[in-house]
Amino acid sequence: MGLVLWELMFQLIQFHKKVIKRTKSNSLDNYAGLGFQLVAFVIASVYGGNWADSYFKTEPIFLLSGVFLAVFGVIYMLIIKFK
Amino acid sequence: MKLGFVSKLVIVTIALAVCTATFLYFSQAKEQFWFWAALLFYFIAGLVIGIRTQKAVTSESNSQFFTGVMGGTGLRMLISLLFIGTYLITSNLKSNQFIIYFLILYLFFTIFEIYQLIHRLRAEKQSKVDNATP
Repeated sequence: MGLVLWELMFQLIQFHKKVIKRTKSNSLDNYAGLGFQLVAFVIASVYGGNWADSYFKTEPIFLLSGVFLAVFGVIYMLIIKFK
Repeated sequence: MKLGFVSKLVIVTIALAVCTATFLYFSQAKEQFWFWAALLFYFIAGLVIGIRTQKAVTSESNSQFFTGVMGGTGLRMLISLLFIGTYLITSNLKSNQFIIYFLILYLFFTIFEIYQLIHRLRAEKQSKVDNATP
């Protein structure tokens, strides 16, 4: 399961890099899009983790993983965006 | 023996971990995993943001310096808000103890980072002065 998660995360990063490359411009709607992207990512990670915890009865492992994924995903997205 | 940024960060984190363990032992706080998660969060954030900021300090261009330092500080604040917001939404306890602990950690790690930056800048300035004197 760990390997599958790792592979999924790797594919997501590759996909995100492609999207960033395609949409790299300084227009206002681009930054607004980034905001929505960040918020959606954080909500999905945290609520996904919370849901997984209640489904697998593994509190608080998935929730904390979701929080960490959200926080460091935001750092990653911002660094890639403003590089 | 001169220690680098990462070694100092590890030492500060271990010292804070000992304080946290003592505090948790005596206070018997509930949902203790949040306290450890906060410490781990600040350690990783300090590592990622700190290394980038340290690089920005030694850069030649002024704009890169300001972007690096201000961006790092702003980013740390943003992700701290994210973490505490997540705690407030998902935790059933919403304990004041944890929030105060989190703010103390924020203070400690921010002071540590600023101290490291000043230390680095001073060393940089000193080496420039030494090189300039004939």
